[in-house]
Amino acid sequence: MRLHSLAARLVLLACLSIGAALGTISLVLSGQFSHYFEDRVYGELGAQLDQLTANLSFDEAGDLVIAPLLDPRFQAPFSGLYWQARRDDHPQVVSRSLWTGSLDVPPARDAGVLLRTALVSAMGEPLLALSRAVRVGNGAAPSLVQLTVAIDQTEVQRAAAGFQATMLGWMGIIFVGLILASWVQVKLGLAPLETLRKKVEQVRAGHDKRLEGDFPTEVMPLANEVNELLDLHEITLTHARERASNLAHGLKTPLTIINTIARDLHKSGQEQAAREIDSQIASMSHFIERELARVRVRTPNAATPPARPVAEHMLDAIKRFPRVEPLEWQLDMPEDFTTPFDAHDLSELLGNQLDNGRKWAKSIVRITGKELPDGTRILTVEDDGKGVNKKQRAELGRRGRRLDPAILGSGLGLAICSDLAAHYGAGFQLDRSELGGLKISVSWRP
Amino acid sequence: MRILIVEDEALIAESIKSALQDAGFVPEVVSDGDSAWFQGGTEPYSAAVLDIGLPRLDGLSVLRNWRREKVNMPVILLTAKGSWSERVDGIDAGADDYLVKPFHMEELIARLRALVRRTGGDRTPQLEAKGLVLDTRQMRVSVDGALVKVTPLEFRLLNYLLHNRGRVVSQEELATNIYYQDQEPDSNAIEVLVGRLRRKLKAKIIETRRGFGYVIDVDPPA
Repeated sequence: MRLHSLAARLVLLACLSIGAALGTISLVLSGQFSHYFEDRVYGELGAQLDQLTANLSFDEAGDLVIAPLLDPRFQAPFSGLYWQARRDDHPQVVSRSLWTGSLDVPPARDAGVLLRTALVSAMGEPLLALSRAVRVGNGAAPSLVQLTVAIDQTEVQRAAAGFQATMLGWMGIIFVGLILASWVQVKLGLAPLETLRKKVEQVRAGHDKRLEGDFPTEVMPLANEVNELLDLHEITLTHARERASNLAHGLKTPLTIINTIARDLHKSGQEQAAREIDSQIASMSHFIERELARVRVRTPNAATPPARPVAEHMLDAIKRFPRVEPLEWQLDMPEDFTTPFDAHDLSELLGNQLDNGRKWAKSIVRITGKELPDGTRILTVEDDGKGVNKKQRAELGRRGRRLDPAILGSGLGLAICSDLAAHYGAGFQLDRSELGGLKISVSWRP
Repeated sequence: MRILIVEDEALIAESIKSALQDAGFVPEVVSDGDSAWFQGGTEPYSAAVLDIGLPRLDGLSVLRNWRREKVNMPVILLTAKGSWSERVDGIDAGADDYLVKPFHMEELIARLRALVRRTGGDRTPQLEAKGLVLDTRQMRVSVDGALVKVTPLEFRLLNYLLHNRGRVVSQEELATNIYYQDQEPDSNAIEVLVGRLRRKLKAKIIETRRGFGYVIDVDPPA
């Protein structure tokens, strides 16, 4: 199974390395402890062996005689502490504790050499034995007496097991502590990546243009690369917008010329051809104008300025557009009312809505910006014109149709507004206004 | 009425010129920003149709220069760009109206007529004085309800005088505003024209102010 989490990978790696290190330490310590304890045991056996050697004597027949040793365990049967004395051609002598048994130690070859042996008693006890041979007799026939002292190894093993259990407990605690420390280290180490992710999210949400901030040396190159990518993206987008815009503008002049040709055809009596050309020009113009509006749309940006100054500027401009009867323009919008729209896009949205009001209103156009009790914000432009019926309303937002050819204008404004609202995730609705005309609403949740 | 057309695309300029002539205007064409600035600043025009994308000096700069020099004729901006920010820029620069290419010639003429009317204080396309009615949209003239047949030149003369009701218009000003650039009228052409019109109208509507020019007086308030 492949781990996708970097933190999990690092913590797993830490687990493996810390486990290996602590395991090795446990093995070494455990071995050292056993070795040390054995040395202590052999030291004690050495002292007993020295006493055994000192208590060695011979009877007249030359048989071995051992004077009683001080440790009472030698007298108790199977007490766990034993001695044995052996001479080649004489009966073997053993401690009372061995009862009728003997210690099966290999024969000594040289005098004075200490020999350590691990063996099993007749009772099945694991024993540690220490032997030494002493040379006796003079002249031509000296002989070797092998003296052995043995002790039950179970004590040593129990002590080693107790040490290991304690040590493993501590090792476990140390392991858990180190893993927790590694986890904290990994989290702290990867925190700049999380910061980077949040910054990228800020850029994607339109709050920031670039990744700003003081990143660690290891993360800074990545942040710089992302920034360069963002710059390149912005340049590419700008170029694409410019190219699309230039293409659209480039098409408009020839379309105007074709329009003049259609007019000439009309004057020369070729009505049908002129009408067909007019219709095609209108269709192309609508398409170009709508696509141009889409190309102009900016990236949604949460940090938008208050909408009222934009609305006031648009009102100031649109009031100067020609109209037979003067209109009353009403603006009801709090000073701090904000929208999700970029200032340029808000100008497009309001421009199209206000222009619609200018063309259709009898005497009043009202612009309202407010927050509803449920938190929804709404921007409405309504007029007291003749309004449109339900079917026409559905048609207007969708295709940008002109309902009255006598009213001049591209007729695309409301479709452009609908596109703009959709781009920003806002709702777009056409209703009947309480003033009597059309009410255009754009709503969104902040 | 003299209209200045500033457009660098020759075909479009010619088409606008032809349409405006048909509509009773006296159009003149220039094709670059520098010439437009000079022409509009030194010659009297009733209105201008100004393209934004011009060689040498862009249309918005021409417009700002005119407004700075107190050239107050109404101006319709023509542009291939149609964003509201750009329209507002145009209005802020001093434009009176804005038309996005491609446009219908009828739309341009209607807006131009509306602008010229608004400048003269008229709200409807029908100009009236002393029983004379001139319909700028239908290009018809009637006196006391009876239709009067007039030539395009006579229509332009009546149109100019009616737009300037109450003001004495000199023969030179009349000639400038009703004859095309390539026409050279005789010294007494205006007198002859006015005389012919008076006979057609069968009413003393056009008055002569000897030594000054001609005038159609405003109707006394009812």
